[in-house]
Amino acid sequence: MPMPTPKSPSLSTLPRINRWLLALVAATVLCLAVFAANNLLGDVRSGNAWGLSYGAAAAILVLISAAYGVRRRTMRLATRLGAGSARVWLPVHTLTGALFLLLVLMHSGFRLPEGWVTWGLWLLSFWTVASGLLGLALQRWIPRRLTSALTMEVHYDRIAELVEETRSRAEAVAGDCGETVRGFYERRLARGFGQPRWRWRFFLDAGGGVQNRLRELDFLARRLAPEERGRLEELRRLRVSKSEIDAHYTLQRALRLWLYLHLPASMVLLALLAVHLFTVFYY
Amino acid sequence: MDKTGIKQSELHRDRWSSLDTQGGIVEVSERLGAAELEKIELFADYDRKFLDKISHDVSVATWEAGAVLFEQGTYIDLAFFVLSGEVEVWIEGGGEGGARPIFDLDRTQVAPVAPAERTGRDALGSTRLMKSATRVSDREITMLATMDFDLPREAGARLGPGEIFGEIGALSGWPQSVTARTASPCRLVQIRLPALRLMKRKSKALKERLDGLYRQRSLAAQLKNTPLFQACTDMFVEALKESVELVSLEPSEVLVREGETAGDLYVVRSGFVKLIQAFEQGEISVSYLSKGMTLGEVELMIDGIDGWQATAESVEYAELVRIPGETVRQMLESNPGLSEILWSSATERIREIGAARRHIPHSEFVQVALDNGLVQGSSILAIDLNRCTRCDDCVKACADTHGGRPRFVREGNRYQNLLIAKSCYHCRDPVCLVGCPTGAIHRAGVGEVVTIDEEICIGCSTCYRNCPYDAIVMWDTHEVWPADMVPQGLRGRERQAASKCDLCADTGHGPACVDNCPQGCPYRVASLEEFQALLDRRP
Amino acid sequence: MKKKGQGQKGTFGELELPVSRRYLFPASRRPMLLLGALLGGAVLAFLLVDLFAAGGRFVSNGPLSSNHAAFGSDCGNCHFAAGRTVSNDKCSVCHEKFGDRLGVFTFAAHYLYRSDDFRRVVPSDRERPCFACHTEHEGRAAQITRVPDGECLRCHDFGSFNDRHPEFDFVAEALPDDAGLRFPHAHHVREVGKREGLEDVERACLYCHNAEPDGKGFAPLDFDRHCDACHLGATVATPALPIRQDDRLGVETVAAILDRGAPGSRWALFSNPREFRIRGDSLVKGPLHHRDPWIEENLRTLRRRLFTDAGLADLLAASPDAPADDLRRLYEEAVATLEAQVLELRGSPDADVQAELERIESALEGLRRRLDDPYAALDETRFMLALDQRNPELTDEEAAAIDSLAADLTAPCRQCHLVADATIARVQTGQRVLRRAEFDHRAHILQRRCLDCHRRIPIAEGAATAEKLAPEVDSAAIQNLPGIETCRECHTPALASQTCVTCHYFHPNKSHRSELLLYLDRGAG
Repeated sequence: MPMPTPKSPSLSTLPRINRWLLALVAATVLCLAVFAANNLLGDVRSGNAWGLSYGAAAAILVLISAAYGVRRRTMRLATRLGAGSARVWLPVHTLTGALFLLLVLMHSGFRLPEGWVTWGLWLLSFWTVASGLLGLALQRWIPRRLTSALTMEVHYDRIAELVEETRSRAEAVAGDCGETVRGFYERRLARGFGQPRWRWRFFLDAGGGVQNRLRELDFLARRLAPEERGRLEELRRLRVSKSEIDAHYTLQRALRLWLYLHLPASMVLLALLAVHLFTVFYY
Repeated sequence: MDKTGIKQSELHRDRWSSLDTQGGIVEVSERLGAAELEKIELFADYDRKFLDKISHDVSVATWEAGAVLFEQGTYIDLAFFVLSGEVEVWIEGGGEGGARPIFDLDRTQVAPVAPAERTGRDALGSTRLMKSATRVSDREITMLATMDFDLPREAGARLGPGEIFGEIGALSGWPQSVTARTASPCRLVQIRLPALRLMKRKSKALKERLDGLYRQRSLAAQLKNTPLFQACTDMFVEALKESVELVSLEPSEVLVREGETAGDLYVVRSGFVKLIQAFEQGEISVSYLSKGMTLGEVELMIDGIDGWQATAESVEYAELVRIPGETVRQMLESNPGLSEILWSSATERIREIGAARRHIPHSEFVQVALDNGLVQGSSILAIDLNRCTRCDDCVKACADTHGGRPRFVREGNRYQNLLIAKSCYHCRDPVCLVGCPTGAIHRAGVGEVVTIDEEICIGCSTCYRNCPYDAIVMWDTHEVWPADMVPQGLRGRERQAASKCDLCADTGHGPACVDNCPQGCPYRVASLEEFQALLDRRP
Repeated sequence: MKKKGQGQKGTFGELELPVSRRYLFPASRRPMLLLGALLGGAVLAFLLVDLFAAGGRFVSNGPLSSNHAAFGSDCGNCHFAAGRTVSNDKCSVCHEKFGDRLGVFTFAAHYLYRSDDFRRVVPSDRERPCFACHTEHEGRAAQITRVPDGECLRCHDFGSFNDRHPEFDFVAEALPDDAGLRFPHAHHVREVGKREGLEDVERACLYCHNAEPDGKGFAPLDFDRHCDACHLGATVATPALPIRQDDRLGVETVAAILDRGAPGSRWALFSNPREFRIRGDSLVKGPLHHRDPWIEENLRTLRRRLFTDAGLADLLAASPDAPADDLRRLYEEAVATLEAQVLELRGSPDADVQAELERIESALEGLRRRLDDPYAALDETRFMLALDQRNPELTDEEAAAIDSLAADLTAPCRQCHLVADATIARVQTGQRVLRRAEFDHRAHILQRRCLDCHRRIPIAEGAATAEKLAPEVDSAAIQNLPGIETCRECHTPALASQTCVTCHYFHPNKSHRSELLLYLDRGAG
């Protein structure tokens, strides 16, 4: 009998992210310990052997980190070559990225840079890692908001289409309604069915406070004939769904736009790194 | 030869040329005209026009002795008719028999099944190389339903001229239960599935002949392998197969209704049957039956219960065997061990129904699973929305692997934190295979993977309409059918093709969608247990 | 989820929205990549143009240190001419153009620097380019002479100043101070304090220890400035000394010296006859002068009897016992004496004299060259050999008589000076004792008092009593210098700096830079 019975989930293993987090903390502590020990032995400057080895390590880390971007864009090749599952690459990307910043700081002996390129590298390292961590936070936070607070799942690329669909359905329902409800629809609801809307509020409240705004609708419903009430109920359902689509629009868009903060900056970082490496090794 | 004839010949070459690569074939005939086909006994019933129509799906091949026609466990879309020579068929190995997947589906392994369960399922006690324990039990049942030949293990049978074989697997989309090898140089008529279907539909005689063959070769074996009848003597089963009735159900067809008078025992041959009970103002699904399970034992065994306890309704197409109540009673008398089996099955059923009524969330889950075909799928793409960042990397990976065009839509119904994407489930009983006029949609040889050969697909949309889960998409190739196209109706029209997930079957790696997700949120789910594990997981 | 059978096919979700009939192609990330590539490319292009066409101001790791700031306008000033990295040659264009004569800024100079390690003149495989220690491009404010300890520790196995740094030689080996003088410190401090009415004992130090203009060290002690006020007053005179006769040992009168025409005896023409009181065949000289030429000449004459060929030592006013790092002084002194003699001889019409002069002048030239050659070994053996062995023809009595006469002759001198072998011991006027390190008194005196560190001789206590302290406790031979522990009272990781370069210089003393000016002068001349 293959009937599944409810059972407790097997949680014997630590969740994935915690293992990586542990690795990050361990690596950070290790690096700082090495740096502290090193500082007792001798001064760390970007130019001396210590500093150079930290710099080299940082460069290797950032290249590993950047390889993730390459892997994401050559998926067919990566899969065929068995380059490893992307779910392992992402934590590696995060881990190496975060450690990269630490090693950059160690490379300079926690001093401020002097040159234009080095300033650029320094700032971009911070920016890239910070935006990466922001992205990590968003990626861990938004999907849960979307899943826990909303009932429906919408594909981002179809939002315009689906908004149009809900709008036309709403208009059809409103068209069948009597004067009162139709008037109410036109004055109070029609605008909401228009375009997909970006609202900051969704970040705090994925529900978007739609229940609050629909109170007037309930007030109206109580005073309507049963069949009109049914239509208003349908309108209400559509309106809530539109709000959910808006939430999806806002939050999924945030997930997409975030990458604009991270990726171009990281490419500039790599360009600067190339120049930096050239000057270091050439001169 | 007219234009159509030429095209028919071309199509014939298209269909059959790949056979040349197979070892053992001495010669494959050119397309046979209606006149030539008529001479063969099998086609004697049909008129010339019909034979012309199916001619490109029929060929006569000459095989040398000792050539393997097909191996046990593979999916083929051919039926063979022996013209001359002898073919040997046999079942390989002990418990290992049946469809052992050569192709590794590489499904994501979700929460591991508890070890106790795993070993418990290994009823046959042999070493198994299966990825997941749940699949082991499936396989046993698959074996049961697809037993083409009633053969003892390790024994063979010889088929001479005038015999048909391979047809059950071809028609039902089941894996072959035997390995077939030519015992002497043979001439075989090979009929592709579309032609076979048309022939079966067209000729009552053939249908009866095939059903007869099924009864003769398969039914007894099936019955004997049902736990219920294992205790019975062979002779009894031989007798039984004459008294039973084969039942076919259309999708959502009601078999029995709750409260109506019961009396017979049903055994599920294929498909799924859900059991529904009235509940307050509505109804709930309390359980479902899959291959090899029986219905009616509660009503038969327990005194005082005469009416059906639950309505039984097919989920999609289902095949059952009905054993009259009288026969069952005879069996019980002659086989005391049988009642024990039926009793335990009955009490289990009653316990289950009770549990379903008390445990509403579980009942809801069963309902959803049945409505969405989760019981069907052998590899359902489920995405954990708690982790999914909607980055579409899964779709990109899919597109990259399939020449730039993805094979699924990341959209679909949501159940709790799972999105069940519009991607092929790779059903255990694929309804999409039914009615394909060209046989373009087929099992990919081994395993439960269903794929579409887009070269052969004529874009008729049958599978697209048949798929209950919207997993097949018709796409515009931006080509136009050539002027000599057969069937003629397509000529000059825009060429469309059906397309669906093939689990990256030809790539040598697992599904790219799973491999390329940075968040690790897509899963290829094979069973309800795995679904349950995903649902219960902490976000 | 809503119940969904065949009837709901083609829709999804609660609202039964239509399922996409086509595959949804993921949105392209190309704009983002393009943006990144454009930005990155632009930055790269800009920097490459900057690097190869515009001097690389933006590419460099940072501005040059203030000293080199003027070269920052063009990378080629340092980088391109001799390959990729900055070669030492590039540095030496400036730093050794003036210094190569001395090799001040070379590794070789480091070995030689106060170590006299001539074997190391051959380059070591540990030699590193200038830039390895002097890291540039660390900002205008960077001080590239502040070489981190790590660079020194590559060769020198001293953990740090507080760890495994050896004790100073003079403490570790308890070296006596070869001052060549009798000098009780406490007594002098007391007397100076009494005379000048000083309340603070330490102020008395400064009466003799006069700081050099840079405040780091002290000017050499000098009789005229520091001793003359009290010593060698008008009443000081020699005891009665026998005048030399043909057969009798004694001192020569001025007239006799003039008659002899000894080289370098021109002073005799200008000597004051009243200072010589001749009574019979004995003579008393008084008052005396410091470095009295008459006494020096008579001592030299006596010494020639003890050591028949005093050779070069004859040219010195005092014994040739100079400290190893100050051998130049011996040569310079000898050269000065010779030059004075040569001057005297120039006027002589005698052909023999002129021939001799020529010989002397060529010898002088050789000496000068030696002095100018930084790699030539200077050693005092030539001076020492002369005073190695006494004249074997002298009997012991004769030798004792000569010693006794020399002692009488230098009786007033011996109040402070040491005399042996008819030679006045060389006085160490310089007070430098750290041979491989630099010590800046000025940096220390603001916070600590002299006697806080120089506490081996109990000067303050001794000055407070009227008694003279015993010579074992207070004499010039006692190194009144602190050991390393005293330094470590302040120089700890937590307090004052303790890097290698705080005290040590890799390159020789900076005072050699004055040589650069000399070079410039010569070049201009």
